[in-house]
Amino acid sequence: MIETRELSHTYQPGSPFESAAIRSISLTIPDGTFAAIIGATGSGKTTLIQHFNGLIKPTSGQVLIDGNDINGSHADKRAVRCSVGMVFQYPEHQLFEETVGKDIAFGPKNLGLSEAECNSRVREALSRVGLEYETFAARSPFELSGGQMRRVAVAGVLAMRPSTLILDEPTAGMDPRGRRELLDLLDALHHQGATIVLVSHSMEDVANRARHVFVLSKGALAMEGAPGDIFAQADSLRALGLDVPDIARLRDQLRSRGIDLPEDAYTHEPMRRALAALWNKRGRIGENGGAAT
Amino acid sequence: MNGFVIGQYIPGVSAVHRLDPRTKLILTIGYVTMIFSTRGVLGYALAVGCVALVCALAGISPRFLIRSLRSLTMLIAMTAVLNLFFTRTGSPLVSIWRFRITDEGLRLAAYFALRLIFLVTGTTLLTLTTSPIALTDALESLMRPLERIRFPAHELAMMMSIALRFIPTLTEETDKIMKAQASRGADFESGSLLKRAKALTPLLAPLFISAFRRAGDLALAMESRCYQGGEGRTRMRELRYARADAIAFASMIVMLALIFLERILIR
Repeated sequence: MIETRELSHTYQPGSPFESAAIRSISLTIPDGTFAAIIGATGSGKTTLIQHFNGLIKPTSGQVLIDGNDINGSHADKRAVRCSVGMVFQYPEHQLFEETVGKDIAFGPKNLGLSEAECNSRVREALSRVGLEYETFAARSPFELSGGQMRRVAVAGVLAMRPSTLILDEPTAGMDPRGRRELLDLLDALHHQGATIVLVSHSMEDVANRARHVFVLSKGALAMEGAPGDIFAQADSLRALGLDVPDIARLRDQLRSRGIDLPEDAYTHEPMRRALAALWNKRGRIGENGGAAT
Repeated sequence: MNGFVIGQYIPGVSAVHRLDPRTKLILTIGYVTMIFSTRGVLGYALAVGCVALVCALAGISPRFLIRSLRSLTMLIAMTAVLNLFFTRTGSPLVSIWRFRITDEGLRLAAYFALRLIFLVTGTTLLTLTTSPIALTDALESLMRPLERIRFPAHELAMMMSIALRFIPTLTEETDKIMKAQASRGADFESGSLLKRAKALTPLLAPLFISAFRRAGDLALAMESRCYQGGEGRTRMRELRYARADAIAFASMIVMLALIFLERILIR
């Protein structure tokens, strides 16, 4: 469980470049959830998540992992970083080894695992991201395509078997199929019990996958709740420089024309079901004006 | 990387900021000449005056400026200590074992430390109040006469501005990659020197690759905007000397004349 208490961070305090990135954020991410963090550019998302595994120290406030203050005097930063994995924006930029296999083994080796264990983790991580060990392990990461490099970088984090995985816009710049496969992988990890924290600019991805949404604005926590509740407040989201998914917009537009749609019709499947139900009853609606056609 | 003041630029509209960058560059050279050629306290007194005046005009707090010295404490201390213990001339004050501290040594130690301090504060003031772009414009303009002897003034200035432009970008990149590798359990801080040097590979390899990628991208972006070098290139901001520049130059000439007089008198 990740908990923050009155967490604030100021960059370059006391200089003319001083800037408060996040202000007094208190939130709780329970174990096993799929959380999403959304917010306009510069709202402090990246700063916030970098606190979750102790990469940056709070200016004030606390970060607790399973109840332990990770910046306390007895805290073991490396242990925290093993249990909380972090996939940065454009993670392919961090690849450095001669071969894909060695690069993925970097994390496990730092954990002090045996050669054999490292190897089996490399195999497992590669297969999780949909790359064949035989084909890819011995290749140089720099001769892969951008999408494949991204997968290798994600595998490098997965190989540490973190119980919590934090991803900063993991699908940025990926093709639709790559996006879907990566998000499916996150779903699969989530179903196996991992906690997922996804930072994303894609309202669709958040609506389709997340169970809990945090909305940041100008460094503060502006909204928080289930995706359904968040995406029911289109106007507030727009005021924060965000938006609702296309389907939620469609729902709101149809509603404003007097068509009754359920609250959860902000993703494809519930919307399809709701529309199909209306279609089956179209005779009756037709008498009322025929708006459903 | 936080708190590193040297080379930073604080945007502003003060009289110092608006001074022609060429003036500021030449004045800085004059200032450095002044503190290096003074024989008494006059040069340092004038230097204190210059720094204080520029700080006041530009609205830079002296405390911020003093922070710029922090990263050089070791160098300054070393210079002072070496001068203190290895100056053989002058009359001895104290002698400990084989070392002897002379009054001349003490004087030199103080002078060298002061010179370094004023050198750093003065040049830091230049970069704090002059944007890197303005600075390279000034360099290019001042080096222009050398183009007659085929000195590539424009190319050199362009290279400098590109290098300066990429310092923050690469700093940010370094920071990001360090954090990413730390998230994978990398340890940059502990272990023997050899171990720490080895631990840098996961940082340096991606950094070099990214620098080359950025260089390639930039070259393409420049070519696609028809960059062809300096020949016949006009500029958006023409540099022009104004009255403030004349006043600044005049004061510098007076100060240098005073130092010259001091040199003749104290001999």
